[in-house]
Amino acid sequence: MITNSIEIILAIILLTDIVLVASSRLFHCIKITAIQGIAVGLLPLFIWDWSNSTPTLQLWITSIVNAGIKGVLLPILLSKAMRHSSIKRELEPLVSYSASVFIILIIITASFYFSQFMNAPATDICRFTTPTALSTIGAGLFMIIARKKAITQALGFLMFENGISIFGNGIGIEYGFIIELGILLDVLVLVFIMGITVFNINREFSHIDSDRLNQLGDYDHSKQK
Amino acid sequence: MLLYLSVIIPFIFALAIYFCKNRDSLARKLILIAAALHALCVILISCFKNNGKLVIESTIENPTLLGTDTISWVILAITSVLFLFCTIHSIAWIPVANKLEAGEGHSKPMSLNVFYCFMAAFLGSMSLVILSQNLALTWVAIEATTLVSAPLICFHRTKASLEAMWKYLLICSVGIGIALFGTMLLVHSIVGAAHGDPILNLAYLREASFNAGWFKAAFILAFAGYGTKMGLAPFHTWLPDAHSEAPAMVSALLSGSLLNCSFIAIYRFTELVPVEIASFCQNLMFAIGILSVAVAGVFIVKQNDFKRMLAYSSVEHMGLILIMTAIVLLSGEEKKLLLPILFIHLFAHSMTKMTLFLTAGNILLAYGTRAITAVRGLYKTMPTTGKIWFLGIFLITACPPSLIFYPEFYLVMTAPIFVAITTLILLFIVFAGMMNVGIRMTNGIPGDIEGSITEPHKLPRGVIATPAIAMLFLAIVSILAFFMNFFA
Repeated sequence: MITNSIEIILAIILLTDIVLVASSRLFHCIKITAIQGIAVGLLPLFIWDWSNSTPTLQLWITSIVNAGIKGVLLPILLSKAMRHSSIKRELEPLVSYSASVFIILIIITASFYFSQFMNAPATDICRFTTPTALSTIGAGLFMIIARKKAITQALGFLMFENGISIFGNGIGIEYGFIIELGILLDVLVLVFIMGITVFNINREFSHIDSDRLNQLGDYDHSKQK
Repeated sequence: MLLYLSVIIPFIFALAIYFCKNRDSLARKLILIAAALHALCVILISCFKNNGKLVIESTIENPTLLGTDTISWVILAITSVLFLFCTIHSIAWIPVANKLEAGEGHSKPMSLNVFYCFMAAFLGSMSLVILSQNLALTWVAIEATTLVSAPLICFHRTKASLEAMWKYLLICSVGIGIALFGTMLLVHSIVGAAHGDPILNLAYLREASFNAGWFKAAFILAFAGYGTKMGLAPFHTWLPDAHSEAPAMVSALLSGSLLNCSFIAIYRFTELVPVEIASFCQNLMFAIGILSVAVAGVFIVKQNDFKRMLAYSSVEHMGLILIMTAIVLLSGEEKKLLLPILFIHLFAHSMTKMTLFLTAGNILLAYGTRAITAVRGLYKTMPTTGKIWFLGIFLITACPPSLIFYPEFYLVMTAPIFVAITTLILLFIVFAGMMNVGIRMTNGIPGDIEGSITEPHKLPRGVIATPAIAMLFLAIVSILAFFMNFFA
């Protein structure tokens, strides 16, 4: 029963991965990231063995704060940054959307294949956490590489971070309360600063295409200050 | 208690400075007090040793989040001294920089209270990295250093600095994210961990036994992740951009302290390597170390930007420090005696690089350009700065009596023959490239080649004072060490 609900959550996360790399509207992307963030935040509550005891207060707090930050706060921040930059779509991605779907399917297949060899103790919780984590990490890195807009790259980073935290949940790491909150705070501030930077980049350059951020480099004598 | 204070004090001051809006002199005083208090904390930490030893370690029975061992004490002391120098320099530098750059149509620089707030928070997060005895806390703290140092890079809010900041944020965050993955795998690789053990505490990890295969995966990931932050090739791409665009004292701190902080994380992982895979890890570190020195050599030789040249020199030294770490920690007990040599390298590199970056900032202020070809005859136009610049380059390329000479000498003597020869050749290339720049910039007559500037701005004495004092200190230490070596 419990295992089934974990599998449903993991399936939702995998679906959000696929939808995210395939959608071009940035608002849509941010909404999907919010759904994924809530699912990842609440995952520890589903992994908990409810038959023996109810989760500790600490677990409740970290999961709800996690879901709140990744599912509500960060999406609001990013959509604000997006509204200021007046850009609605990622029009010319470096890898086209149909090719992206193909690649994400390959990433998911590979993750499921390779996680067979990673006989993690996660098997007694749910054997699908590791492949889901690997696919989400892969999808996040793919987004960072294959998309041009700085804001999509920030979303890719969030996905990547989500993947890592799924993996941590799957192998049952306990960091302790302070460090757990520290990690959350880091992610929050990071995306916050990324949002501000996107806003500033847009103001200075009047675009947020990271592939056109190529002023710096070696041997470019003509463009030196 | 002292350890916690040295982390908390900078953060409290950061908060206080943030509220000093439009009260610049108060902000300046507060940052100086923060730097001085931190230095005092470090002095007290080294005085109040536990049972007459320098080491106040957290133990398995009593796992604490913070603690010191020898390496963290050394790096903490370096960081504290560097921060003190950089804050003192910034107080003289920022008004001059704002005045000289205001007339050239630059956008308004960051307000002083925000800048100093991030500086203080930077010091706090670096201290947390250094003193942390818990690998997850180390991760949190290293991520925090990225967050607070990224805004410092775009002090002048130019397009180029924004670009550098974005690259720094994205590349380093992804890198550090990979390191978190590595940390998780490390926990996963512990054999026979019971529920409730302090699995991330260093004291526990040093005693634990690991599954070699999993540890290998963990080491590679953590190495790649923290290596990104440490500026090792091929993950170094953010480093020259960030270091060249940041204002002088931020470049000095990034290069002199932050790279050491990321190094400490790699050092912690290297300490834990089990014997079965020691040679694998050692070869990996040799390969990446040599690649870093090689990349730095190639880019230094054809460089036309003196701040980028210094940044590549940091890549080179991080590579050398990595090779030395691989020799010291992974080739048996007797080589562990060479650990002080590694500390000498860390200290000498940080101090020399700080002096060079502060001087480079001054040259940039006077000439308004970072192009090497534009600067000629520094001895004539800016005599003191010229001398510091040339001496600094002389010392950083490890010519005796430089302190860096000893670590590099021991490296070449103790490394496996192939590593030693390759490193030696690459070191000569770096030496040639940097000396060429040093001689070209300091000698000659201003304006004797096309594109060079004849009339640089005059800089007030206060701006030159800090690098001059730092260089004097370095020169005295180097000469003393040289003679001690002769008579010992």
